[in-house]
Amino acid sequence: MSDKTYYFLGKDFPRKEGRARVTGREVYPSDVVLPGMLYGKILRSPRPHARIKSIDFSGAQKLGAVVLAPNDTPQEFFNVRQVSVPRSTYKDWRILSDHVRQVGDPYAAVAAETEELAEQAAEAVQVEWELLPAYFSIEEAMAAEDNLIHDKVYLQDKEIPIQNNIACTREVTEGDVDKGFAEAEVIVENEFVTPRVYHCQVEPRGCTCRPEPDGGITVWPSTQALHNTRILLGQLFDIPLNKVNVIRITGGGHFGSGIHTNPVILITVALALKAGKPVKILQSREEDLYDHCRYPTRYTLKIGAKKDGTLTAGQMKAWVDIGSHHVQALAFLGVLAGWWHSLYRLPNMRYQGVAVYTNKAPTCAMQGYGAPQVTFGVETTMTILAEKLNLDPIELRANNYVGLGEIFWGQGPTIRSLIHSDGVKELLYTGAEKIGWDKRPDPKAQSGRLRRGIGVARGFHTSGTGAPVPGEVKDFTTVQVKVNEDGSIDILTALMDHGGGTLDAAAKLVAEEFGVPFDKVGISPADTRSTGYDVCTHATRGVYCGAGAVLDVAQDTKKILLDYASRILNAPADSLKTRPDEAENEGIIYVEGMPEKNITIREVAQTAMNNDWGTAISARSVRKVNCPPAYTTFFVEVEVDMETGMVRILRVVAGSDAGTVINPALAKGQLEGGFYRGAGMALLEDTDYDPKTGQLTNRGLLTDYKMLGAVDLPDPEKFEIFFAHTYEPTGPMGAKGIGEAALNPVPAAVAAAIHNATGIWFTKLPILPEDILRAVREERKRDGKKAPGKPQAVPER
Amino acid sequence: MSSTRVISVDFECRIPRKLEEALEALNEEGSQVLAGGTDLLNNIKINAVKPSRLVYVLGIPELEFISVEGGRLIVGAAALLSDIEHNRQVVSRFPALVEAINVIGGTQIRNMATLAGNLCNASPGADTPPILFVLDAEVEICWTNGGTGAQRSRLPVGGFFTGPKKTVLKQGQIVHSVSIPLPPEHSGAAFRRLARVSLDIAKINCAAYIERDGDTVHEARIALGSVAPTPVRAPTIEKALDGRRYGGGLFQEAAELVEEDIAPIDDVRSTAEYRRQIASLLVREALQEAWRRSGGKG
Repeated sequence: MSDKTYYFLGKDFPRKEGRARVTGREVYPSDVVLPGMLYGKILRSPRPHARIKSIDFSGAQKLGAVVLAPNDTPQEFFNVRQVSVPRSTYKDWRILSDHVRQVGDPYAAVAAETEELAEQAAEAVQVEWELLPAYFSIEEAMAAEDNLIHDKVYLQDKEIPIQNNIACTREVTEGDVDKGFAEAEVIVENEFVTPRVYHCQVEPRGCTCRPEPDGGITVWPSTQALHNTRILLGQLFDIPLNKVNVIRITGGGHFGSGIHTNPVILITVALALKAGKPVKILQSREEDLYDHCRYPTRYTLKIGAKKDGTLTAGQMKAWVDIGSHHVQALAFLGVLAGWWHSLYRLPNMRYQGVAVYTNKAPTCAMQGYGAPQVTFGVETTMTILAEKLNLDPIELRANNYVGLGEIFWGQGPTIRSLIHSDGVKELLYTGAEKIGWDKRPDPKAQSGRLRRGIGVARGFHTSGTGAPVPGEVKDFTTVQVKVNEDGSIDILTALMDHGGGTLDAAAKLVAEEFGVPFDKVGISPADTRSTGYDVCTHATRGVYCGAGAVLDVAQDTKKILLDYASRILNAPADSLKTRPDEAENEGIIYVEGMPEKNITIREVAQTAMNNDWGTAISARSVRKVNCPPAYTTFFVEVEVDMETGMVRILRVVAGSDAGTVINPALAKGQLEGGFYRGAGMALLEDTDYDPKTGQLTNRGLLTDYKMLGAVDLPDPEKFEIFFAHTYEPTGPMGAKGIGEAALNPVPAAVAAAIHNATGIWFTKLPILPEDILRAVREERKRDGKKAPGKPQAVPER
Repeated sequence: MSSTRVISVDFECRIPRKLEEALEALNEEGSQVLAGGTDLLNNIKINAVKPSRLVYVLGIPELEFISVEGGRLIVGAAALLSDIEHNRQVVSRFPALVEAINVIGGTQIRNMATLAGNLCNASPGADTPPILFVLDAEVEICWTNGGTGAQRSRLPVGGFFTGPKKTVLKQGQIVHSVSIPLPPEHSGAAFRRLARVSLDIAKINCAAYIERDGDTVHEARIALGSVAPTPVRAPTIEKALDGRRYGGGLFQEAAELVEEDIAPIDDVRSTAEYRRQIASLLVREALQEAWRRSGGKG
């Protein structure tokens, strides 16, 4: 939050689409209904690993259904995620395949006039399966010599054979690790495990597609990536891109699950093309649970330090169980190294990452993209290290973090940039004061049934993936900004807003730049035919890269507007200033130092039109050459019941360094939401598979995919939020990102608080009451204080 | 794989106005009772149940009541959980029953679901059976043989469950009502449970009832859920408490005998080990609270 004063930035307004949302008039993917539309249904494998021996559609066809078999779809290999450049994108997907690789893997689809009929048609399809051995752990998968999940994948046109189900590997080395460890006076090494969390976005993924008379298609998908979806559809279905129109509709939540073009979109398009009619498919919640989840990780982390707390070396070996398909695990292996490297200065580091296929749901980005996973281990290690060295964990962090003036590459080794703003120390010290860090309990001094603990963890996310030299990841946004003839302004861009207020931020920046009331800036409906490329809203890039691009283009348009105004006011354009006149609901252009010499933007636009000067309009693509770290720090206080292992979150202090805060209420909402999912990852959320059936143990039912509810979270008044006083010089009016940073340190902070209460470190997430109770009992057994199984006599709660 | 897709199977749904009409409809093979539907509809969606006919019993006047008569609280099969938990008689006389009902689902679920339905679904982890067990509740069953009017019989709730998702009800039989004797003076009951989150099915639940005679436990009843194929009583603990004087760690000692009475398993909600570990704790807490509510000191 910078100290500058603005007309609109840092103030809260009703969101532009707020009224539509709360009155139920917003159109989400599930709301799209077209005349003559058929309802589609995807047939999904009941087996974890099998091939289709035979498939009989006659029952479905008798019901009048349109059917889609694997050989009705293009059989070229592709990757659903197109954020990375082609040379770094492994391709192992086909729209439908007769080789199914997980329970829930699509192998066919049907469409019929009603949803009920489609359901009946799907049930009437008969399949004979040839069963293959299935692998549910990294060990099993890597031990396999044949019957692999994928025999081969493609990198561009090059075929790459797969061995032992290893999808890809990545290594990064800097400095001399052996020398670094030799210099270390203390070494901490642990294995960390993080869960396979499901996104649980409110709306399951879905799509509607209408084939057009000219051979083109119009598509209403749930996606974060309009243009990547368009390009993939054009390529797979061999349709020129000027006939592929992907419409932006408000998503019912993503959390990263729509960065890649979800299979349901491809299947819907294939079905619609075959039917020659519009088709809609909306996945059920259970299908959705088999469709995507967060990358789980298992890694060993070894860090060496001198007695004064200077880090000398680090080594990380990571295994990632990626499930049945490659949603660009190579990039994921890269960011694991990046998050780690950019948290604390490590002169010598060695990283090895291995991604392994298993017969489970494909893993993909989810809020944080590896950062919560890595931050959990790194932050736990930092606190352990501080305790070993008898240093304050806050000081150890303050002395070692990667900050102002340093090079950082959070998004992986190929994306490096310089840090220009840094609120880390403010976050650490202010947060420590607010939570009462100095008064935190000593775990060894606690007794009794209910024990309190305070934990800290810090982290960051990159504001996008820009860098001076382009790396493996595409990052730019195309924008058009035009001034209308009544002085209002339209922003046209394919940038998406996932609910965090990205487009509202863009509108505020434009209102601020032009000096027009916020109401006069509109976000135009967008589709891929009318907009230029935007990589997608991911990587916390929405405000910094996306809205930043909008501001840059707005400045181009403003130049044109001021040129018109200078002709009318007979004053040089660079002497002109703008300000909003809220009472008149106009933007005013005036001569600096002569405020009486002024004109409304409306009059300028009308004069320009009537004199045939033209419209003040401009469009271009903008790439940000930085991705500044959006830092966050969380302090969490918990209460652990030593007899049940239950953890209650009592208090949270969340600090964010987002640069200039554009939407304060929404930024706070991000921190609350990030905490909510981070705490869920720490304490609860996971998806397990039953190796006997290959099914999720929760069977895909939300009944048994538990998330924290409002009652399980601290009271709002016990959730304190503050922003660092920073200004990001490369950002739009000083802003950087927040979204994923809001989650990244949370699991680590919760684990540290549990440690502070119990004296026990948990290195595997989620930390269930079952785990805590087992560990507490083992501890007691070791200490010999109490016979195992005997609860302490304590007063009633 | 299961899917809560649109219900695509055709079935008939009868909405009878009188109990006898409902009972006659239920005599036909493949008929099932639909009350709040909070369990049944899920089961239809995931193909666990394929009914050919549903008979809707909410709104039948003979089943839609909560009354106190003959020294008993009687809850009709069509009474909603939210009506029961807000009923004045229930709130004042059966606080532990209110506690057990209050943790079932959210408000929306309790506005649809019924007590009889919670019993008929026969989940080993259901929240109301343990408290009904210890309150000595009885289930009244009714059916018709055709033209003879409604036949009724009563059995203790302890005899109602025959296995996971199984009850004594035969085709054509429905629960008419659940009745609970009004608790005597110097008695108290309590309910305890643990779940993954506040809005959840229990990992384990438990209820205790104590009749006090001065500082002595005159009679104790304990029941637990989610620790065996059906909700169970804990006779070993009950015997250990009968006639015993309060104090000296009595409840803790007795509660530790719970292992004798339970046979928990690992499932998606928790582990057998954990359930075993915390069963005695919950029993002890429930006993302590029941004792306090009975007016006992300590």
